[in-house]
Amino acid sequence: MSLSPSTSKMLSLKSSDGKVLEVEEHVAVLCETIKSLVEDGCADSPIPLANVDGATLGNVMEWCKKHADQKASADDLEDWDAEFVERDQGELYHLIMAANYLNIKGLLDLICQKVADMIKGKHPEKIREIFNIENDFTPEQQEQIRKDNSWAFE
Amino acid sequence: MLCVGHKPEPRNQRDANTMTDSSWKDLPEDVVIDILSRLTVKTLIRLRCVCKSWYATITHPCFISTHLNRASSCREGYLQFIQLESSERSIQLVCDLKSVNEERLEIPIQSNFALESVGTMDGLICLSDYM
Repeated sequence: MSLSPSTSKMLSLKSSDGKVLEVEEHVAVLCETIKSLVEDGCADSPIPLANVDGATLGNVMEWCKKHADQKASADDLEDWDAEFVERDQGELYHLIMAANYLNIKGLLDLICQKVADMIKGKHPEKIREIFNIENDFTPEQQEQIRKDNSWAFE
Repeated sequence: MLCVGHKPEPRNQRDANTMTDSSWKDLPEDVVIDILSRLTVKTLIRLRCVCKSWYATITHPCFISTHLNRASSCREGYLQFIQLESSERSIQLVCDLKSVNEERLEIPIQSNFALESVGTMDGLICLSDYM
């Protein structure tokens, strides 16, 4: 059973890999980018979303649908969100890029906090490994940074 | 055609090859700032040596101000000043009520007297040894 108003208009969204999703307008407008298009009367179907692949768009719309549901309580949403972010890093990366591109503040907040929690308490070496970042410091530069605030590395 | 309005796509349906192509170093700078501004100062000081770009971000005055604003708007933590003995050169901080994280901070001054907390502002603590 759909919890949304039966009169809700449907929007077609087209992902970067050509998948088309039919989404209720009151769900899709949680994306500020799409909301602006709708308000300007530019939401011609299907709306092309060149920076979001189909699988990610599906996940993003799943989040939007849950958060557009006015019957969901704050506690319910918090539990649901906690489960929603239990994903591998690849999916989190795609979600964060999509939330940024589609301008969905709530989702961006959620994923940024999840990534911050992943970083918390880990040493620089581990962070580089997790995020696939190259160390471009010389050993001397690195040692100097450690020396500057050695208490933080204990 | 996928119909999200009625049938949400099940998770983990993505092709295995596209899941590993993420490159976190390509994240837009404002997103990196958003993520890093949620971390504690101690973690950030350690993270300065991850790479040059993170160093530049973390030490930039704009980032420091963003971080301070976020930390100041979070009212869920409190500061607990505990010095059990005057010889003990560390104080205890409880910063986060939810996870009851306890941090011990070493006091970088020599004193044979008990220390008193005079006040705090923007994360700085002023201590006095009654001299």
